[in-house]
Amino acid sequence: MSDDRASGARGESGAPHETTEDLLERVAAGDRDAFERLYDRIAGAVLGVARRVVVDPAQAEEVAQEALVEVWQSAHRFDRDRGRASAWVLTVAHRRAVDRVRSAQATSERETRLARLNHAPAYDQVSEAVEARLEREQVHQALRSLTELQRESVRLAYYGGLTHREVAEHLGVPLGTVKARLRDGMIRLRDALGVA
Amino acid sequence: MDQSLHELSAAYALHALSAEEAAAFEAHLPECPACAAETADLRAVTARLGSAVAVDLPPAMKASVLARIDALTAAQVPEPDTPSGGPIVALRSRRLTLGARLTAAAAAVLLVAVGLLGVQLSRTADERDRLRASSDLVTRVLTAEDARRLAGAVAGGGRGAVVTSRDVGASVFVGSELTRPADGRVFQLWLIDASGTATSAGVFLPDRAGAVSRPLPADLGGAAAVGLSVEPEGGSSAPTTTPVLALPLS
Repeated sequence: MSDDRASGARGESGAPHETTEDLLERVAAGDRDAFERLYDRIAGAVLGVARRVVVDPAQAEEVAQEALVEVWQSAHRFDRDRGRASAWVLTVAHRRAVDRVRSAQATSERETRLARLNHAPAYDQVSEAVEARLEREQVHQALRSLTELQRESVRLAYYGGLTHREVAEHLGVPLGTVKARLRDGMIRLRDALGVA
Repeated sequence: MDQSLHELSAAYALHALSAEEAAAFEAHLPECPACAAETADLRAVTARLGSAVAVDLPPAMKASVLARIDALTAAQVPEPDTPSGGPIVALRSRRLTLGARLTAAAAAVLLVAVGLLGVQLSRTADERDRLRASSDLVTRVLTAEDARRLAGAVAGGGRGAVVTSRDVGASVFVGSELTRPADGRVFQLWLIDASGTATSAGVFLPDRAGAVSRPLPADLGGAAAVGLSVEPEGGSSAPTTTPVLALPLS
């Protein structure tokens, strides 16, 4: 779904019906050209995720590069029966970003990141490509369908890189509540986005 | 099925579990097809959250990533003539059939480059130093090792916090998801002393996302609390409305 749209946006590269799953499997077989096409398709999201979570632009780019190198090295672990290629790649990117901010995390750094969670930093040029705008609008609309607590919990966890315990602390609500809101919020997003 | 583990699918998909919790959930996954299916779905949701923040790429980044994978490929030892290699050997041999075979010299250069990148990986502390050295007072306070934070909910929506660093010798007010006041109205910050007298600490309007971060007067003027109220444009000499936030400083 998102993959089909993404491939449509990059019609100039690769075969028209090459799915991201096809690309990732070719990368697993060591196909460097396929890796370049995969990069063109998804690196903007990889860097976007890293920037959201890590905030510092130089560190974010480093995390994004590491994630893409990991995709090259670990693509053979991708199994199309277990999920989409875009989810696999962005999971690698998000995990690396989260690892980076948790590894040497002074509380003060976390405050900076959270303080900026609602800013659109000057360097954070969101992609103005038509497909990217559509995707952004759909996701924002789906997020708006959540309750405030669901939305804040999901946002702090995904874009803020917080653990559910930290989300609970930040929002001043019990951990059990955050666990429940993360789950019902994500399930509502799944339904709103038609993911499955 | 362990109900408490089952509840963790979303937090797991969002990387919001501690390492121990994530390990427990992963151990549970093979035994629980329901959790495995739900986790896969929710991972797909996180991918959409990620796609929604896609950015335009710096032009040099692609060459840099390709150089790194080429260096990795070149660094792999070509296997001798093995009759029919196992899976690992097979993978390597496929990698070595790439169009991008490098000369030994180019590979050496790239390995040096990878080495330099390796140095960069561990520069979090340097990065912090760089941020500290920046002239941006707000950034310096927010990144200070000794930063202390007092936060509260703002009546009408959003949250406000006062972050103070003794090292930097300054305090900053940070607001998020604030509801923009009606036309002709602004937010005004107040330093409130022990007797309840309020002194203006400036007016502001949050950005479109409802966010603001701005320095407060040095040493907070010995204030007992920081307050926030909605005032007519230009501000007032004393609060004219009930404060939407009051943060006691002790």
